[in-house]
Amino acid sequence: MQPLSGVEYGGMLSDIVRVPHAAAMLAPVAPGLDAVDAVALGSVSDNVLDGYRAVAPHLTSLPGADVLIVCHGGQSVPLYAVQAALALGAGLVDYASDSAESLALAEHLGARPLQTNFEKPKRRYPMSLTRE
Amino acid sequence: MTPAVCGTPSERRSRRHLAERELLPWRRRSDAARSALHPRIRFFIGRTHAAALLPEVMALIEQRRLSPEAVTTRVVEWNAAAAAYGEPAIKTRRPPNLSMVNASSTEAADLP
Repeated sequence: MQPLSGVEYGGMLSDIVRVPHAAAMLAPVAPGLDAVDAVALGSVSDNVLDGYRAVAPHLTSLPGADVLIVCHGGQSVPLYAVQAALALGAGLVDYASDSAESLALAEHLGARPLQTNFEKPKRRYPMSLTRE
Repeated sequence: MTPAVCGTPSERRSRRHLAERELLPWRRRSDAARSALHPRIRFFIGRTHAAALLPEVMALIEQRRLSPEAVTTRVVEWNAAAAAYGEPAIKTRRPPNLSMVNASSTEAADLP
């Protein structure tokens, strides 16, 4: 689990972490956010931003565009992308996945779920282009 | 392809790797030139500049237009985080703690 469990500056499983250049690296939690919001902000500097930036600049170029999000493997980033696309005025947001849980959550967030059965290889390869 | 490639050494290496295999024009081209090369497919790749985008995302969260907590599928106590980390969940977080909202900068660093 190193360095996640805490060596060097500490990590996400550390009780205390050291933050170099803290004035630039930390951002204050807005006073209007409640405790539940504040806890969920733990992903904002990472996965939430990844989902946002996957759609935001392109919806600026193509306002109101329909969006297809394909999810296979890690599920949080594409789900954050669903939220961001809808918040930024996308037209139809389709969400393709082979995960029932992910599809249900995407539909709850406002996307149209598309059940997709990605055919998975029966053997391991030294090189792969999908995230597992 | 129109990758959002920045200027770090590793990113320059990646760009050169693709260019050598004729998968990517080495020199930056205008949008029109890229579209002429690949009129139907545009492929974007790059790393997120967290500090640059954070204000945009935080504004959406404050306006309640973005709700990261809605993607949470599992809540575990902080002292169970190490065991829970390896278990399946779309997103795991700790229970809310009211003292965290106005925590000092030292305490805020405890956020997972």
